[in-house]
Amino acid sequence: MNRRLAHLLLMLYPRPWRERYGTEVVRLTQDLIVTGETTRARGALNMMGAALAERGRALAYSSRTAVAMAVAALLAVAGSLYASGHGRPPQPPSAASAAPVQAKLTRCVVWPEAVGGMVVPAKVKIALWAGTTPRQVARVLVPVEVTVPDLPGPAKVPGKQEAGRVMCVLTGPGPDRKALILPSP
Amino acid sequence: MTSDSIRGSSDRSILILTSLADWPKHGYALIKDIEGFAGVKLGAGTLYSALAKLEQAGLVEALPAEERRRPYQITAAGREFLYQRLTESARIAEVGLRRIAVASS
Repeated sequence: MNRRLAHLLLMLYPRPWRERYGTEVVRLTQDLIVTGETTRARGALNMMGAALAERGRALAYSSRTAVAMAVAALLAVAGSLYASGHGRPPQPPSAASAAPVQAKLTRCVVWPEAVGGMVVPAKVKIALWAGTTPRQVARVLVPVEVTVPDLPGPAKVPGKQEAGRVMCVLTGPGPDRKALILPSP
Repeated sequence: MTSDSIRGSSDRSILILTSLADWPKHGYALIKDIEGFAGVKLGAGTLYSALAKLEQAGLVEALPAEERRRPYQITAAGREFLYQRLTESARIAEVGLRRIAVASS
């Protein structure tokens, strides 16, 4: 495997992986070619496949991080709403309240098999905002459980926040109803 | 789904940990050893993908390079993980073999 091809193949890997293992993987591929254990084509294909897998892993990792941030943000929103609904005096700004990421509940989706009186899995769509000039940095779906008082059919509804609770208004064939969104443990 | 496709990245990790269970090895030695005891020929990219995951999980660690090659060794956590997984596999294998024997008798 010539240096140019090795360089091109390494560029397919995420940079941290490339910096840590790049030299070793190229050297081993060259050793395997020299000793006849593999061919140039097979060696290149193997590196290409592994690079795609690493890209996928890096992407999955960043998605998990975004979901974890969203769950933390949702809990923070629920906590602040709860506090404001219980007559607590306004708190002075602190380092925590000046955190650069804020969450905004934008929509909740209740799965069609929801029936009255049951706690069912649901997903809350949350927008994450960051920066001094707020800029939307991510939109994620966070799995939660939702209590459905009496829902006769499927519902896809806009989210709504009320003091002390994070609520979704469920609209279906019947009259509109509200459901309390409980963060998953 | 073929039997080969079932043997996923988890199996590769077990093969690497098994190979490192006796003493440290570099990439080429790992590939030859695994081919010898398991009949599985790993490519360089595949091997280092699995090694990277194992190193991030703290199950293997890199040693200082020797003559252009960097050996890897299993950690105490890796040895414990391997022991647990092999014990579990052995238990499942025992149940499966017993049931096959009962069904065919």
